[in-house]
Amino acid sequence: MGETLVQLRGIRIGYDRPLLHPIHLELKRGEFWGMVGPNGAGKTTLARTVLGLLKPLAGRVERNGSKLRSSYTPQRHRLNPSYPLSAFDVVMMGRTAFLPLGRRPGPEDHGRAQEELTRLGMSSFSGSLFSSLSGGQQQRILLARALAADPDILVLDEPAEGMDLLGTSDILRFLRELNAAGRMAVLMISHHLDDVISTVDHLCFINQYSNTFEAGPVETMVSTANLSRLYRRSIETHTCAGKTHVHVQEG
Amino acid sequence: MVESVPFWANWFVWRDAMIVSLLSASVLAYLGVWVNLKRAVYVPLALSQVSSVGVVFAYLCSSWLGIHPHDRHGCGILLDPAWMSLLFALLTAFWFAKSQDDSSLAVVVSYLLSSAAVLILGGFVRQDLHDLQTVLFGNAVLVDTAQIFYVGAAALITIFIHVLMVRRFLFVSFDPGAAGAAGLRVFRTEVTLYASIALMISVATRAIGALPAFGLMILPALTGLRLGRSMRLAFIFAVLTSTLSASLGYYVSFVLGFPTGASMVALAGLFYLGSRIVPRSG
Repeated sequence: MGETLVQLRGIRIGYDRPLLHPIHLELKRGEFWGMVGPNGAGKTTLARTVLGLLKPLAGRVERNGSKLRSSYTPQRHRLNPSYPLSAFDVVMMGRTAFLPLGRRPGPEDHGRAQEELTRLGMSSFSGSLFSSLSGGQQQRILLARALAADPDILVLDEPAEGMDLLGTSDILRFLRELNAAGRMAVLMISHHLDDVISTVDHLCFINQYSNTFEAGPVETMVSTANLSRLYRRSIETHTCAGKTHVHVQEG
Repeated sequence: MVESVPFWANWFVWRDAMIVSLLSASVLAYLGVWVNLKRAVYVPLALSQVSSVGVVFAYLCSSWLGIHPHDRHGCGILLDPAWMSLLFALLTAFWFAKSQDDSSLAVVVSYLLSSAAVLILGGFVRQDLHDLQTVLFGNAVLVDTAQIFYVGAAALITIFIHVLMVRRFLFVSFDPGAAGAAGLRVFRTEVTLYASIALMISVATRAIGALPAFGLMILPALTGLRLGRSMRLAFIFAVLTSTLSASLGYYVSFVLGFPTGASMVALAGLFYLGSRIVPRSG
């Protein structure tokens, strides 16, 4: 496996008070992590801490070198739709950090943005208003923006939020292919357990209400006991045609 | 019957006021697009009110120390109402940027407290009340020639900052989380944007008055965002509408004897209502 990019050493996450016991986690280049847990469990807080947007209340976040680049795609509903931005404008934002103050984007920046739009099958929507695109299309544009920044770490917050079956399947396949290239570490937050399990190679379970944080390879993490403890409900797993499925038991 | 006043023959009367109004209108409208997009329309109102506290504070200190508030010598220069109002506005802009999630609360609190402070502290100022009122709320009809310098300098600084940082402002305003993850200094960028708004609103309020400064920041920007299909077009439409409202408003007030600031804002409002007839872009 690749070099360690970020290491969380006994960090306590939260805004005013710690949400969980100290967390240890190591993200390596080429790894694909999924993060699951109930609503309000602390998933986004942990992701923001990994990205350096939020300081841990205790412990250390060690990043491998100061030139490490991160990209983040937030939940779409957090974005203000009244900005009159084209899809291309949004992707070009991914190049902002490369531009010195006062410098306009050059041909290389335009080329990278166009390249990512094409890779995500969105080049024909380049001039469309971002706010007029469907949820799935917006998600692809945000992903193109994230990739245009050539990140070492890519954090995706609910990338399949509001997408239909085909849209979800396409974006997860794209992410698997992206990860197979081994150039970056990917951390994906999602509520769709079946999809996460079939996409990632590592999982972390997080729930501040039961003071739970566990992380490891998918095959060791996914079990009826672990998931039931995480969600505090009886949850069953079974494998069919090589794919693991999750069911919540009634009552 | 309103007696017609020869407008063009009296150009020397309105020249300075027109220059200051057009300068203020264009830069305020540009900034207004950011203010509207950041859903922070009450920020300029609060900044304008806080900068008024700075003016009153300057008058009060001058009064206690027995020096004239516009004295350019010794500590008088530190107590200049223009500097003091700018200082108060910049400190408040810093607070707004720092507040982030509670920014609307910070805006309301600062507006209410500064409104109360102006009324309470204003009562202790011994200077000519009319002099203070003019400095506090400006006068779009008769503008001191020095205001061309103040507004021009503030406009140049604002334009310079935005030429340098416009792409950072856009990324940080649209998606602060992603901008921060990409390595941009979100807080510094926010402070700089708010500081440019504070600078322009405090100077423009003193020059043309609170109502036109606030009105020409918000209404033309709304028109620009209604008509513009891109950020660039939104800025262009906003600036055009604002300068048109300021110049036509001044002309109407001069010829018909209407209040000047109110005429400018009424026209900006009419342009906005007119823009609502046009189907929304996109």
